[in-house]
Amino acid sequence: MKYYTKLIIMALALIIFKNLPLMAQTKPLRIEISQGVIEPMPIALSKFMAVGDISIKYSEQISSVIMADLVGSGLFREIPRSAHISTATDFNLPVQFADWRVINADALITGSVNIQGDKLILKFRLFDVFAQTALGEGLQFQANKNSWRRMAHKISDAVYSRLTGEAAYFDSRVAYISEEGPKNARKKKLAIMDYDGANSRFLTDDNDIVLAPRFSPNNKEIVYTSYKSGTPKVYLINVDTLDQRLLDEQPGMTFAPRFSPDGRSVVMSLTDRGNTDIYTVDLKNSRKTRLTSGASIDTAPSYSPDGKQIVFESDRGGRQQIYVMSVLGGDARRISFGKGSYGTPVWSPRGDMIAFTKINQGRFHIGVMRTDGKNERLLTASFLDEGPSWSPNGRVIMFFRETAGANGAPEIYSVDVTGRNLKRVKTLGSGSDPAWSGLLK
Amino acid sequence: MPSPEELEPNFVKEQEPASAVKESTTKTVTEAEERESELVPSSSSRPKRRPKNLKVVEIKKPDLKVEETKNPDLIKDAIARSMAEEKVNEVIVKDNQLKKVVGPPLTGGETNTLMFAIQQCWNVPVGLENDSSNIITMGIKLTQDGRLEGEPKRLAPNTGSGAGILQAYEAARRALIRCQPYDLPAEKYETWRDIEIVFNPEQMVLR
Repeated sequence: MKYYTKLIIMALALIIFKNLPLMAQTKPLRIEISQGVIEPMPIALSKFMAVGDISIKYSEQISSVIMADLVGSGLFREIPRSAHISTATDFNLPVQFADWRVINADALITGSVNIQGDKLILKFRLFDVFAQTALGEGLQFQANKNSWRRMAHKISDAVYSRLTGEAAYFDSRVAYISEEGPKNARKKKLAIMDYDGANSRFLTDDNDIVLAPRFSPNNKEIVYTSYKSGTPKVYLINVDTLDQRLLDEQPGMTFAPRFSPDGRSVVMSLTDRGNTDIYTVDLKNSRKTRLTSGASIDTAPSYSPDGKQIVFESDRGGRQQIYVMSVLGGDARRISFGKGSYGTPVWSPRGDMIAFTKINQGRFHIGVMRTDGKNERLLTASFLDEGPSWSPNGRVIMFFRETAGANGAPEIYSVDVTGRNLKRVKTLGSGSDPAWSGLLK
Repeated sequence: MPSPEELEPNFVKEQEPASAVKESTTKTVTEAEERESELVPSSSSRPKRRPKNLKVVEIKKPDLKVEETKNPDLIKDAIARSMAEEKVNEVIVKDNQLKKVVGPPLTGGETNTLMFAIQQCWNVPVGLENDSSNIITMGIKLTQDGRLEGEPKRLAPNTGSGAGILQAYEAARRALIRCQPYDLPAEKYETWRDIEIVFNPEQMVLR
C-alpha cells in the first residue's frame, strides 16, 4: 500500500513539475507602482453655453468663479481657453474627446446658463477625457440670479468631490475681524465673507474691540468676544438679523468661545478672581458647567467633531501646551511635547488632526498633529502666524499673519494641510481671527 | 501668547502668494521646512538611498518555451535555427498569419523602465496618499506596438464604495491610457502582452 501511495505522489509531482513552466507562462506580468507624481490635475472648462443674450454675462462670471475655486485649491491646473480646440455649441451634443485629449486635459467641465425672469438655471457635466466617459450624471441648479456666485461654488464643490473623492469647501463662509488704523489705536469690526473673500460685509461697527468669532454648526449664528462692557465678554450674533445677546451676564471675563458640535452649548474661558478655567454654557437655560479647575490658565477650547472630547491650551505644566480632556472635564492628558510653546488648538472636522500655533525661538508656526500628539508637522513660519481655522472638509487651514514694525498689519492666509498652496485671502481692510463656517445648505 | 513686540524680530522676506503648483513633484516642502533649511546645511554627504520603488514583483527565469502555433513546421525550423546559432536564451518563432512572438521574460531593467514610465503618468489624487485602503490592481492587454487593446480592467478590488476607491481606480485608468504606447522589446511580446499593475499609494507619504 505504501509503495502505491509513493508512486502516486511521485507521478503527481512529475506532472506538476513538468507543467510548471507552462503554468508560470500563463500568469501575466505583474508589477507594483508605489510612487507617482503629485501635480495639479489639468482640467478644461468649456465656455458655458449662454441661452439668450442676458445669460452671456453670467456665463463668463460663473465660469471664472468655478475655475478660480478649482485652481485656487492647488489641486487643479487650468488649460486656458486659448488652447481649446473645440467649443461646446450644444450642451446635449456628444463631446469630441480627441480635441480635449490632445491638449492634455484630464477632465472637462461643460455647462449651460439660462436666465428666466429672476431665475438662473445652471446645468453642468463633468467628463473624464482619457476614459472618454461622463463622471456622474451631471447636475442642474436653479436659484435667484443674485445667487450666481453660490451656484458657481456649488458646481466647484461637485467637481472637486467627484475628482478627489473628498468633501468640498467652496460654498462656505469665513467670519473674521476687519482691522484698520495703527497698532496702538486699531479699529476692529466683525465681518463675514465668502471663503474666497467675495461678498464681505460688516456685522458690527468699530465702537468696540471684537475678537475670535466662531460659527454655529448651522452657520446662522456667530459667538465672539467683545469689549463692549469694558471687559471681554462673549456675545452671540445672528448673521442675518444682526441681533446680539450677551451669553453670560455674571461678573468675570469670558472669552475664546466655541460652539459644541450639536449647537446646544458654547465652551469658553471664564476668568474669575484671577483664575482662568474652561466652562460650558447651555444656550437654552444659560446654565454654566465648570470643566477645569486650578491655578493655571486654561483657554482656547475646541470640541472633537463627535462632541466627546475637548482640546485646549494650558500652562499647568509651567509652559503653554496642548491638552485633551473629556467633554465632562476631569483629567486631561498633554499631547504636545515639542520644543517651544503651543496654543490655539483646533480639532479638525475630520477628527483626525489638531491644528495649532507654535512659538519656538522667536518664530511663530501654524502646524498640525495627530490627536495623540504624534506626527507633528509645521506648515508655516513667520514673525507672527496665529489662529488656525479648518475648512469644512479638513483639507485647508486659514490663519492670520501679522507683519513686524509699527506699521505691521494682520492679513488672512490659507494653506493646504500638507503645507502646499500658501496664499493670501483678500479681506475688507486688514484681517485677523478667521473662522471658517461649515458647508452652506 | 506673547505680543509680537515681546519677541525678537526675525522677519523673513515674505514669499509671493502661491497659486497652483506648476511642476510635478514627489515631495512636499512646507514653508516651515523651507525656512528651516535657510538655517541649516541643505545637504549631507550621505549617499542617496536606493530607490524603494524599483521593486520587481515577479521575475521569471528565462525559458525556451515555444508558443503553440498552427504551423508546427515553422516551430521546428525555428528551433533548428536557434540551436544552430547556439542561442540558448532566446527563441523567436514567427508565424506570418498569427504574428506570435515568444521569448524570455523582461529583464529587471526593462521592467524598471516600464514601471518608471507608468509612475510618470500616475498623478496620485489628493487624499489617496499614504492610504493602503486605496490600492488598486489593474489589468491591461497590449498590442504588439505597445498600445492598449481595449479598456484597462479593474481587477481588485473589482467593486468598492470606500472613500477614494473610485478616484483611485480612475487615476490608475488615466495613467495607463495616457502612458501608451509602451516602449517594450518586441521580441518579448508574449511576456508583456498581459500585464497586471498594482497601484499602491501607501508609500506616497507627503514628506
